[in-house]
Amino acid sequence: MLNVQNLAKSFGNLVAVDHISFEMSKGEIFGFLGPNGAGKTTTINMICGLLTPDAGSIFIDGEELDSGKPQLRKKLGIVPQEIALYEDLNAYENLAFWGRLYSLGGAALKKRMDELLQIAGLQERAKDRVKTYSGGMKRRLNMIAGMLHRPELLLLDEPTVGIDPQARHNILQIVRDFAAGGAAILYTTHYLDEAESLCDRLAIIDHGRILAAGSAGDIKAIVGENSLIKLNGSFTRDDINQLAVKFPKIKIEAIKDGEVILSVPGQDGTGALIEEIIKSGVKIDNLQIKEPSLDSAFIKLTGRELRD
Amino acid sequence: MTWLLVKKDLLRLSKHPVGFLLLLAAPIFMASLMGFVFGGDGDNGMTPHVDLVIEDHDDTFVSGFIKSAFRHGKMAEMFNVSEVDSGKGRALVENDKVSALLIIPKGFSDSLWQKKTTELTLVKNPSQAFAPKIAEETVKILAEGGDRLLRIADRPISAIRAEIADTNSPSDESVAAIAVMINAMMQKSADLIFTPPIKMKEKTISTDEQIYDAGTLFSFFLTGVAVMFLYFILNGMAADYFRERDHFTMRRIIVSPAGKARYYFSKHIYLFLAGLASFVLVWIFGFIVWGVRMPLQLASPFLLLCVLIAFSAAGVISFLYSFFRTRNQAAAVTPAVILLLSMLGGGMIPVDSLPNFIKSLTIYSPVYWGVDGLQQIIINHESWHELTLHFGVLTGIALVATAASFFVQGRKASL
Repeated sequence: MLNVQNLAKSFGNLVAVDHISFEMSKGEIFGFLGPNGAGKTTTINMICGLLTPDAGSIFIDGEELDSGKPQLRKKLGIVPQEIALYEDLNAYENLAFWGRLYSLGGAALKKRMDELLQIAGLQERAKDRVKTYSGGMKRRLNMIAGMLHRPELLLLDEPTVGIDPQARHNILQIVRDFAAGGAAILYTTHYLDEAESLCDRLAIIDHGRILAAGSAGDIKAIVGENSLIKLNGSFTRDDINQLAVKFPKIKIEAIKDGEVILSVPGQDGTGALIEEIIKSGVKIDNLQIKEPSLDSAFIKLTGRELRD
Repeated sequence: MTWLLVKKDLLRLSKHPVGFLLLLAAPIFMASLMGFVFGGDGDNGMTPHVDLVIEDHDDTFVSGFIKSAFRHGKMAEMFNVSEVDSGKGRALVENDKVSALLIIPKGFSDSLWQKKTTELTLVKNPSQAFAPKIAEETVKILAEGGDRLLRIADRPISAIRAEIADTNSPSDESVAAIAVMINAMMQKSADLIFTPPIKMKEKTISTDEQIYDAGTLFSFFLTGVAVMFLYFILNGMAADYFRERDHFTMRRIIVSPAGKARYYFSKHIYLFLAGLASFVLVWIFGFIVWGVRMPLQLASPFLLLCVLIAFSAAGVISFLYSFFRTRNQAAAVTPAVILLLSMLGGGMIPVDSLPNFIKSLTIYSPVYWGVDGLQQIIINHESWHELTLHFGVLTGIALVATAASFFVQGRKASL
């Protein structure tokens, strides 16, 4: 359905997207997992035509995307991270406008609007102005506005930012149902649990590059059976390097003064390592042990936690 | 698709009628203010009304002349004069029943004949602002005029007085001599105190004098205010470019099949329609409320001119907005540009009142072509032929500004 090849975009000296490639099939939910500024939104903006790539190609259903093909735009649906709705209009008026923009009309549009309002649980408030809605309601309306014309490829840019767990659960269910109908969904998020539970495949993106791609299981396998130990305290790189010599199976994944991330095979050697550290007189303020997970995979791949 | 986008904007506008009406209120308020100040044509004109009472203690031909001066021509339209018995006028002023009391003292006529200083007393009503002032100025003018007349006619008056004192009935020779003297005096002073009728008829009334004629003065200023405020109204509405961008609806439209070009085109059409509606409403108000008049056969060129003024103004405002990246930038710069264009184009000050070096720049202001075109129709009653240049220039401005705004907006990298 979507084939992205060698896509790149820079803003001055900042490389936002650095020659990434991936593809998606119909009915698949593909997650883009990365921190803020990783290049997720820039990628989506290039796919939907808001930004022109510096290099690379985007194919939708085998046809190369360029701004001169409105019929290709009809295959795309976008749900931006921001609430892109007219708050002075009510839900019906908003949906009618967005629907007509994609050539829907008459009874078919009304039926589709009712159906989606029902799914989003907004039917009772459909005639109220959007500005009177709660954050979660706006998010749901924002989402169904992008689904009205039954796009074959739906781009969802962090649709659950800033909403309560119940509204989030509701939105994720809508996404699952929509994918079950055969649409391909590109879903960006920085919530690990959301990505793991929702997406068929994931790509971990940071500094504009895809660091790993595959199912959640594939990505977890990158860290293997290793646990990650993160230490914060009053120490230098040399302190840690001297200690590490004594534990050849332990690998330093990332290090800077005052913080180190170590990869430890299983639980073996973890106790001895900690004991050695304490004996050496290095002051430890915080210690975290992370079992193999998407989180530990992300740390292994990027050298930092997703929330960093 | 474009119309769908325009309809959406009009629907949103209809959800905020108060905001739009407030925008419209500015030119209507200014026009109304001018209507009150200058008056319109016909019955709707705001001719000031002064209730004046006169106590005539002299009761002679001369005092009768003063009283009758308030009862003729334009003075009669302005003054509502009534005569009251001695001592009753002051009470009317104190009770706010009249604007002023004029007291003509006993012996007023004799004093004039004897060239002694005499006084007219005007008692003004302190609770009224303008009417007593008008009465005061009018009485001053009358007193001044009477004084000048007495000085110029000094010799014949002295001769008449001497003749009356010597004999009750002057001889034919005396009457003939006095008549010759009056004739000579009249010939010498005619240019000063009387305008010979034949000369009035020969005088060519210049365009300026015609413009400043009472009724047309309001129409004259309305043309400038209406065009200037059209630009300000469009400036207020063009902020929607930024509203849509800030609320991300612009991006959503641009990635839809509508695309970027249709989005900008629809905004331009929306500005044009809203601007035209507001402009026409201001003129409807001027026609109905303030009695602005023009020959019916000029309705077509007038309407075309309105369309072109709104079209060019929408183009100019869109062009200005295409350069700004934020709403704050637009809010800081655009009003200053509009004021400059209005100042140059006669929207604020009549072009004829501008210094010569600025006058030479007026044709570069789009406001000028709108204001001048309207004045040609409404004041000079010019028709199609004389307005060809105005139509052409306004169409050119509209097309160039619109095309330039599309070009600049299309090249904008940041959405």
